[in-house]
Amino acid sequence: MFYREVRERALKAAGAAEVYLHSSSSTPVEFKANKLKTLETKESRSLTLRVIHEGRIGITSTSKFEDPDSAVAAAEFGPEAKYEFPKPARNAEVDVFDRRTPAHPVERMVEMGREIVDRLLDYEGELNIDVGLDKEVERTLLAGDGGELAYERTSFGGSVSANLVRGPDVLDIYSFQVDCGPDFDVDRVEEEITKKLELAKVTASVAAGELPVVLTPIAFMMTVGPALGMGLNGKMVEQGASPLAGKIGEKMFDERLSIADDATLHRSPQSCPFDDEGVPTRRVPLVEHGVVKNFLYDLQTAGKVGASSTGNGYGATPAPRSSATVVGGDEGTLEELIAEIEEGVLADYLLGGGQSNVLRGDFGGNLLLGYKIEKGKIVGRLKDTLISGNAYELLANIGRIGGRSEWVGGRLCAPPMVLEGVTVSTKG
Amino acid sequence: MANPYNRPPGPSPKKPLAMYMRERLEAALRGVDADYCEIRVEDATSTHIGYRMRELESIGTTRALGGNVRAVVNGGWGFVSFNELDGLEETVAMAVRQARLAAQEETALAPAEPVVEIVPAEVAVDPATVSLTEKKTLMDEYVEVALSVSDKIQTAQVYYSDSKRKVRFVSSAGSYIEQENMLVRVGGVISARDGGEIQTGRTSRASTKDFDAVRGLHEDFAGAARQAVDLLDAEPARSGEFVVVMDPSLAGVFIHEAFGHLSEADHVHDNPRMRELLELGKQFGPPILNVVDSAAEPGLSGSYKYDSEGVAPRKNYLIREGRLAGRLHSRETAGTMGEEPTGNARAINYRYPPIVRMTNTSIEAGETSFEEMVADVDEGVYAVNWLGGQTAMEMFTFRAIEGFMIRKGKIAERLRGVTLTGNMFDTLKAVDAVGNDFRWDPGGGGCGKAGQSPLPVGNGAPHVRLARCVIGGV
Repeated sequence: MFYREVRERALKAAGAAEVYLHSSSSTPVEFKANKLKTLETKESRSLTLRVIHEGRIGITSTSKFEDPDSAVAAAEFGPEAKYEFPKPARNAEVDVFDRRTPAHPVERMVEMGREIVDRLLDYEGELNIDVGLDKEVERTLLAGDGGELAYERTSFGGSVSANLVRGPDVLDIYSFQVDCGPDFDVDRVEEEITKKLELAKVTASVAAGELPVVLTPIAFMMTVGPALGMGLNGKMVEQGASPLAGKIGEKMFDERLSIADDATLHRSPQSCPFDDEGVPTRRVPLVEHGVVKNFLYDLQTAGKVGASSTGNGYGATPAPRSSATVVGGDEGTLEELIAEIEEGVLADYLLGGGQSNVLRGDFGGNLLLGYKIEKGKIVGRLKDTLISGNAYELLANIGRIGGRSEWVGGRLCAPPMVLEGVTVSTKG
Repeated sequence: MANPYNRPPGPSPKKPLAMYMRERLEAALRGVDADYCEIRVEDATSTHIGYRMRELESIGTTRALGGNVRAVVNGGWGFVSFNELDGLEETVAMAVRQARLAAQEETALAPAEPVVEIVPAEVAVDPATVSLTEKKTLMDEYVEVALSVSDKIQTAQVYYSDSKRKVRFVSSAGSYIEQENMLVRVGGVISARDGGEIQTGRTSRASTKDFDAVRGLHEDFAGAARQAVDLLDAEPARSGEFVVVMDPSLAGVFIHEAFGHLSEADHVHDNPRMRELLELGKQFGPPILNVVDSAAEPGLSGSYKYDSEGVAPRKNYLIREGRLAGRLHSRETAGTMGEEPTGNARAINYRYPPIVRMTNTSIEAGETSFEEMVADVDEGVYAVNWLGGQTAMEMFTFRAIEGFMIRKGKIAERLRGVTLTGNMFDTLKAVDAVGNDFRWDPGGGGCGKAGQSPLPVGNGAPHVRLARCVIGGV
């Protein structure tokens, strides 16, 4: 096997070496402007050689399987290794391979795309619909001192965007799903998009000020998500850049808030039996009842701060990264949350949500899709409206957390929630 | 024809690939049964160095060799990407089969002259000839300079990257193009902290021609560090509608984000409503506003001689004297709209098909000086440099790194958290002064679209004033 040769050659020059192999094969089907447009087949592979030579790390990646020596050359200047390559191990409970996915015919995907387009056009003939469906098989292999370990993962997902132009007003509505198996739910897409189009038919306005804002799970991801992602990342903590650094065991958030990183969820396309460094995955509680419990670590970052890897070392050059973020729910549907609001905003998608001073917790974004709430009811779509605030301040005192969590494209599962006192700015 | 400058790096390759590549590619397309078919093969090497504070955090090299076949039959496209060059004939057949399955109506590709040309990178000092030790020493100096500014500096991330890419393109229409390009870039993200307050300054510099362009930037790194420290004491921006003066860096991103994406014809060509909305000749702004996209402008991050479909780009006026004057096309969008191709089909790498993209986008210089622009503002915001930007059709939002209040014609106190947001149609009409101090942003830019990110682009502008724009403070 070639990767074994690569590793053995490297071992002649370096003290320790491991090979990380990743390959994927995907088959995207793309509909543009209501019509089938492109069928694709994408094959890719990469070989990464990691060495620790005289206490320093060197990494090189290639899609052309030769030239392993430069990893040793890079190690001459590389960062000091704070860990040793582990014996790869797996979490045997995690199952992310669905044999139906590779066998699923492209023709069926084409039919499904047509069905989505037809159903949405039945609702509104003026829509311009793009559909992307994709099935993918990935293979990951790690070969190190302690042996070799591999897993295969399938995913089947799709995104639908429906565009409606009325005069100078452009409205885009999205829906996306992903799973390990070919279980894309067309009914759910239809329901989600037609419901949002219906609500957006009327426009409303809001006066600038501080208002309660209901966040859908997508809005959660686009507002407070980036700040939480950085704040709970071990690398930011190790650098002292996270406002949560040194706060393990302290109550920093509302006691109803619990957040975990979970790469062990059954059939979740972000799950895996081990991370890209061969550390078995586990559920990592990050915030429990408002108290900070853990940060996400890879081996090197954990080594620097005297912690253990949480199994979150991802990438050819490993760095701490979240798998799937799961936010715990409390009680109530989205409709019930809205019903309690006298005057406020329902935020769904935002533009530019992560471009603020994210480290500090700031977010600010234009409402791409958001609605005015008056006396417990949605009265219309808001345009030219910006919401902003600070994730740490707003999450310390949450208005209400809903009960039913929903997935956002495999990376986040969260309930709707109400944040109090969000800054709403607008024209005029 | 043998290519003397084309020996692949690395230890003794098994086959002298380069010598036979053209013949191999052309042979694979011979007799192809499609309306049009092309092969792109790419060989890229890159080096990156990343520092955090004084610690070298990552260093490495990447080599990517791969390619793709794209075919069209009756308007349906097939696309296959691969890492293994063997069996190219079968890959071509597979792309054609897929295209056939996707076939719908007629293929409408705007005609493009076949081109046979070899385009080497025009590089003064090639980063490949500079030792890793020298690159590392230079970065060490930049880190030191940033850290020496203040003990409030919390983190200094300094990065270096260079890449060299050679793309071979062959089409069933008879083109064979070899194109080489280089990009070297350094940058720093420097954060300062005071209690719970964290602020960030940035700098970056890019060149497609010369490693020497990233030397001697010590003052830029010190400046980014000072910016972060100064922002710690800045007032939070107040939200509301203001007169806004954008500096050239921000104005360049503004035109790219707020308007440029709407000029990409792939949003328009198959959407009748969008075609109505974006009809050429429509008044979009005041007569002082001229907007250009041009890959033909030499030496910038978004420059090239041929696009990923083998079409030579031209200088495209998108807005001329305030009126919508043109748009950016691939061969297909130009073909369906009956317009001229503009050479704007770009693919970030071999794993993706080309899509319509901007190149070097700019607002042309006007006649107003910066002093005049500020002088008659009673109360307004001067927004400087950009932290990021996004658009979704006509809505945009972006963030300045810092800002200043303008009071009674003078630049006043420093502001942090300046976010500009609005609707492109309203905002372009609100342009009421265009500066005479045009410059290209020396940092170069990276643009994202349809998962292809960051694609190198250039942004340029003078100072530009908006009579009104919503500022969202934080």
